[in-house]
Amino acid sequence: MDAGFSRDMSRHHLQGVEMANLVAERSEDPEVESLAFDISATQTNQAGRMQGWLVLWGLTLTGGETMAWMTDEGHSGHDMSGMDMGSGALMPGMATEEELAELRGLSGTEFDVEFLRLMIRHHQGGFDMAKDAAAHAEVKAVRDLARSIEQAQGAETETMTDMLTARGGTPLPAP
Amino acid sequence: MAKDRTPDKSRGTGGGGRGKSGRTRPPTQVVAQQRPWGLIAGAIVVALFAAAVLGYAVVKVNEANANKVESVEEISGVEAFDFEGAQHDDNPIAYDEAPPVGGPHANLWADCTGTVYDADIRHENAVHSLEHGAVWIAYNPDEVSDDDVETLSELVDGVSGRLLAPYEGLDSPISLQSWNHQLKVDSVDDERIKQFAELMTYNSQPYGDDDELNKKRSFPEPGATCESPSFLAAPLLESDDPAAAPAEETAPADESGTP
Repeated sequence: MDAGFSRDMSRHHLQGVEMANLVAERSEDPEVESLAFDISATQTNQAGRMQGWLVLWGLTLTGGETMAWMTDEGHSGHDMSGMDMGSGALMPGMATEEELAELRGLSGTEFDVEFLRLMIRHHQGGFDMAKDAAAHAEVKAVRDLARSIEQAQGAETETMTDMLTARGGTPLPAP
Repeated sequence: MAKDRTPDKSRGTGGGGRGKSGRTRPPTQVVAQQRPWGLIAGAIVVALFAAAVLGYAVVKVNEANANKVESVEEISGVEAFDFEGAQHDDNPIAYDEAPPVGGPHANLWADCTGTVYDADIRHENAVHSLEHGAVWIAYNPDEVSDDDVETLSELVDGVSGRLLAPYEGLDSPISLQSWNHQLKVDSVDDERIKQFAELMTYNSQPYGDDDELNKKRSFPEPGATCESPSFLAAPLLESDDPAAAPAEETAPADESGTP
């Protein structure tokens, strides 16, 4: 479980970083920029920690069946049937290539709204993964990081939902 | 040391040469007798110097070990709190502690990349820095000297995860904060300042092996950054009227002067 979580969460985080890094060029809203900078820096650091563990464990950074490590309890609420769970498969909350392409093409408030919609959903997916690992991972360092991801993403989701509402947007359905 | 000896030896041989040329003269013997004294004196100086260096090193290492702490509980006078993280609020917040050590805070964090501020920065932003794992060193500008501030700066300047700022009306000359922890001291010479700063900066295990306390009290956001370029460019100040201008609105206005 520890390795599966580290692999999947580092990949999940790096997509969050990718989306957050679109903000600087496209947004003109300091509040969104500050949020995105925080997400980008924090998740880059955390993804590096998880990849570091994989290296120490002698494991590859990618590969394996996506989300296979999650307990049934963790999976509840996510309908995995019919989903491709190969090593490059989308995890809960991740944006599709089409959604990312659309986001890249936007700017200004339109961009801010779509960014927040995608990032909220992304955090909701990450929150469930982190919650499961915080409760069930074997290695303490993994549980600790998972717990802080769970807490931070839970709180950031609330912040972003308020920001989205303030900018006239409505959230996407939760993953 | 090898270099120190060479001149002694060469002096010895040179003297020997002169000795041959004036074998019958008493002064030669005097010179011959003096030669070893030079060597001995040199050797003693070298030996004393080596002993002093080694002794100094041993004393320093012992001192460093004696002062090193592995748990915040080993530092006397630290007060601990049980705030949980991740409560963001851009309104002015009334904290019970002064300086505050946790609780709700502004969305924007104060730059804490080894940053020395010369003004009392907005406390709501500094608390967010604590949440990112920073140590915030505050001092009462009316109670510490410029030299003291300089000494504190040396502990902060350039060390990511620390920030130094004056704090108006502080009830002790110096106060150190990390998330959920506070240490108030009277003098810049207090060894606990360095102990606290070194132990608590970005440390997720401030209680050593005590996992329960680490979990309960360590800073909430490991991996978060201390960089805050917009805050660094235009620090928000406690003296600004926060009631009239919440952080999220003052930040852009300060920078761009947007209409």
